[in-house]
This record gives sequence, C-alpha cells and structure tokens, in this order.
Amino acid sequence: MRTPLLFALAVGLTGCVEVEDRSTNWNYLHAAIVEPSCATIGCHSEATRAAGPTMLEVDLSTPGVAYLAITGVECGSGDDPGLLTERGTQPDFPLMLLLEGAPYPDRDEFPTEPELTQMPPDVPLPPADQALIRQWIEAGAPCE
Amino acid sequence: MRVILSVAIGLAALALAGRAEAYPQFQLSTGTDSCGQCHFNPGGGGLLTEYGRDEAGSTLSMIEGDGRFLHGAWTPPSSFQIGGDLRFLGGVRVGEDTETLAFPMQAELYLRPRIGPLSLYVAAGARPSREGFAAGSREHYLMYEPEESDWYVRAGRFYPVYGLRSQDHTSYVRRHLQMYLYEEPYGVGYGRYGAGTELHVSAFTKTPSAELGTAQDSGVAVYYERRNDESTAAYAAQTKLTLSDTDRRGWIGGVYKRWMEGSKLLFLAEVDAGVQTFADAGDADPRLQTIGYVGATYFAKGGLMIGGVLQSYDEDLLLKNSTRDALELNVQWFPYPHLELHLLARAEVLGVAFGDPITLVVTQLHYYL
Repeated sequence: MRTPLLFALAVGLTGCVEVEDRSTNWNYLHAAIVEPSCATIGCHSEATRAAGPTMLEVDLSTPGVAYLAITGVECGSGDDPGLLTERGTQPDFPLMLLLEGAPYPDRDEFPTEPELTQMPPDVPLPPADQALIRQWIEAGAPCE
Repeated sequence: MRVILSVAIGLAALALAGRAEAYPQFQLSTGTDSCGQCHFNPGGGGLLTEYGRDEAGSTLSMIEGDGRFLHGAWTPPSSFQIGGDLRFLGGVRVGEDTETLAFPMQAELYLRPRIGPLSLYVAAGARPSREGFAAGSREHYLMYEPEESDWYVRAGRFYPVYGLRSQDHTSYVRRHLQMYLYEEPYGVGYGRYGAGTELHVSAFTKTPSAELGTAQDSGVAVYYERRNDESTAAYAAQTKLTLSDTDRRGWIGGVYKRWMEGSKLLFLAEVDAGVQTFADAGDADPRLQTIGYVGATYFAKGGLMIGGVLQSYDEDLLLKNSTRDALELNVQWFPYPHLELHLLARAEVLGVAFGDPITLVVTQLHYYL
C-alpha cells in the first residue's frame, strides 16, 4: 500500500513523462497553454484586439486566429507557416525568445525588435510549456 | 518600439489589476458563518450588507468608526444600496528584468436596487484594456430572495460559488480555475442555507460577446459546506464541470477552514483535482491537474492580519517541469473603517527552479465607499 502512495507522490512532485511524449497538435497546445496564459482580458484577448492598432492587438483567443497571428498563414490553407520561415526558421523564431526571455543571445539577429519583453510578462511559462512550443516549431508548426 | 514595450509592461501590470473580492479570512474568525452575512453577493465580495459595514466599523478596524456609506454622512435607503471599491497598487517584480509597478487597481461602483424580494446587483467600473481601462461590468444579476428565507435564486453575470474565493485573483485557486479577471460567465444560481450548512448550485455559459470578457466555458458548479456546531471549522466538497469549443474539464475538490480562538489563528485550505481533455486535438492525451492552497492567518491586535500561503498548481501531473509553486506573505492592516493597507510578498517557482524564484512585492491601498 505504501509503495503506490509513494509512487503517486513522486509522480506528482516530479512528473514522469517527457515533452517528447506530448502532442504537437495546435488545438491541444492552444487549449493547454496559449488560451489560459496569453488570451486574458488585458492581453491577447479579442477585447484587447478590438481596442486598437498596436502589436498587442494580436488576438490569441481561438486556435484559428492564434495560429494566423503566430505563423502568418491560415490553418488549413495548405501554405507553409510563412512567418516562421521568413524569420529564420525554427527554433530561432522570436517567439521562443519571447517565451524563454533574457539573456537573448540571439537578439542581434532581430535588430528591428531589440526590446522584446518576455511573455507572459507577469509570470513566464513553466519550462515544460516552453519546451512544448519549441517542439511544435521544430515539427514545422503544424496547425492540426 | 519603446511605446510597444511600455504598453506591454503596462498590460503586464494590468494582469495584476482588477477586482479583489471578499476576505475569506473573516468567515469563522469574526463570528460570521457565511459570505452572505457581510456581502449581498452570496458568493462574497463587493457590496457590504449593513451587518458587514457594522463589523468593518467596529470589530475589524484598529480605531473604531463608522463603516456605513460615506462614513454615515448619508445613509441610502435599504431599497437602494450603494457602495464602491477603490484600490491603488505599487510595488516591484524581480525576475529576469526588474519591473516597477504603480497603477490604479480597481475603481468600481456597486448598486443594488431592491423591490421586495427581488433585487438587481450591478458592479460597474473600469476593466483592463489597451488604453489602460475601459468601462465594464463584471457582475450584474437579478436575485430573488424572500425575506427571512433560507434560499435564493439569481440569473445574470457572476462567478459560480466555488472554492475559497480568495480576494486575490492571482491566487492559483482563482487564476487556474477560470476565475481570473473578467472570466465571470453568465448563468443561473440557486443556494440554500441550513443549520450549519450551505449549498450553492450554478449553471453557466460563456459571455455572449468576447468584448465583455474571456469566459469561454459552459458548465455547472456545485459547492456544499458544512460547519461544526461552534462555527469554528468548516468543510466543503465541490465539483465543477466545464465545456468549451476547445476543451472539457472536470474538477472535484474540497475546502477546509479552521478558526482557533485561543491562538487567534485561522487555517484555510483548498485542494482540487481535475482532468482536461481536448477537442479536435488528434492524439493529445488528457491532462491530469492539481491545485493546492494552504494558508494560515494570525489576527493580531490593532486591525492587523498576518498570513502565509503556500500554493501549487500542476497543469499536467504526469509531465516533468510543468508545476508552479508559490510561497507568499500577506500583511493586511485596517487602521480605520473603509481603509486597508495590504503588503504582499510572493516568491514563485516554475518547474523545479527552486533556486531562481520570481519575486513580487506589492503594497495596495484600499478604500471602500
């Protein structure tokens, strides 16, 4: 009896599954990470997007609009994720710089965006979430 | 670019901004049994009842005064209650980049016209937006509660009664249980009070327009609380089931509250276990999730409360490095009725980076009308 309890406790404290064992499906990543962490009322929500034309008008509230905002192509269009490719391909896309934060050794490669701040700006994503996004980019940013 | 950065930091600050609700610490410790004794909202928070204002004016403050609207300068009729909350926050967040925070946190007016057993509750004020704040209403509902009765029904916009209902919307038991800023759904609610018990059942759906808020779930929530005969301990069981276009979640949990009169200590705890499944997500596995909250508050003399809280949220129990843990200290001082000064210090750890916590220290000045 004691062994299963200790096992359950250990799993709870440390986890046993690697990021590689998780899906790269965009709908999963959006519901698990993007929507709860990024699409809050003052940030990348539809309400904020409707408020005005700035970089923060990026709407990440649904899988479809979030995919378009991040990759530059519509999910299901058959196009390659152009924005990712144009910016130097995976995994050097600034999205990872945004998520992983300083010291940004690769920032020099993006001179037009020297002051990117880490996202989410209140509390960063846990390491597993950052790794899941990186894995998705490395898989070619599939939309499904 | 500097403008964009400034806006980003401003909006980051606004992630902290917004509503603060009731103080669950006052239940049991002040002789009150339920949130609805001090608040018109059966779930707590917002406009104070006459009893709540009396308590704020006498029991809770260092210097006794008048807790009524405008310090008693004018008393609104019982058929039209008015109140409000103003909060200003300043502080610093220490992480990869140290960030100074200073902004108005809450400016809201509460109105509650009533005709007999029927009342309308409206909380209107400012909500976070790109421009800083925009007008909005988090809560507005019609409520039917016969006088001297032990039940109510309501319909409109409000949070389902669930959990500890901490005043801090960034606490894990709110932030990660779909009770963050402007996540109030629309729905109907029913509640019944018994001898040492209360039951709340809510059914809800997402906001009709995304510009009203970010609630994307429909579902049901049930909360049942039982107190001991002395009203020094309370236990609650709860469940919440939600459904959105992209996922489904099921939560079961429990709440424990214990007041120790001799040592002036109050313990609050909540634990929730959940499972999240995904729609149209191919081979994605369900995620098992846990949220825990354990806190102790010492009621010192002079309107002073000192509390410590340990929180944990594991968004994917089986996945390595997916945990958030936080340790925080709260010092709340109520020097005079209507006034509160709150110091919050929190160290938050992501994954297993215990040697590299994100530290937040903020003070909050609160005045209620």
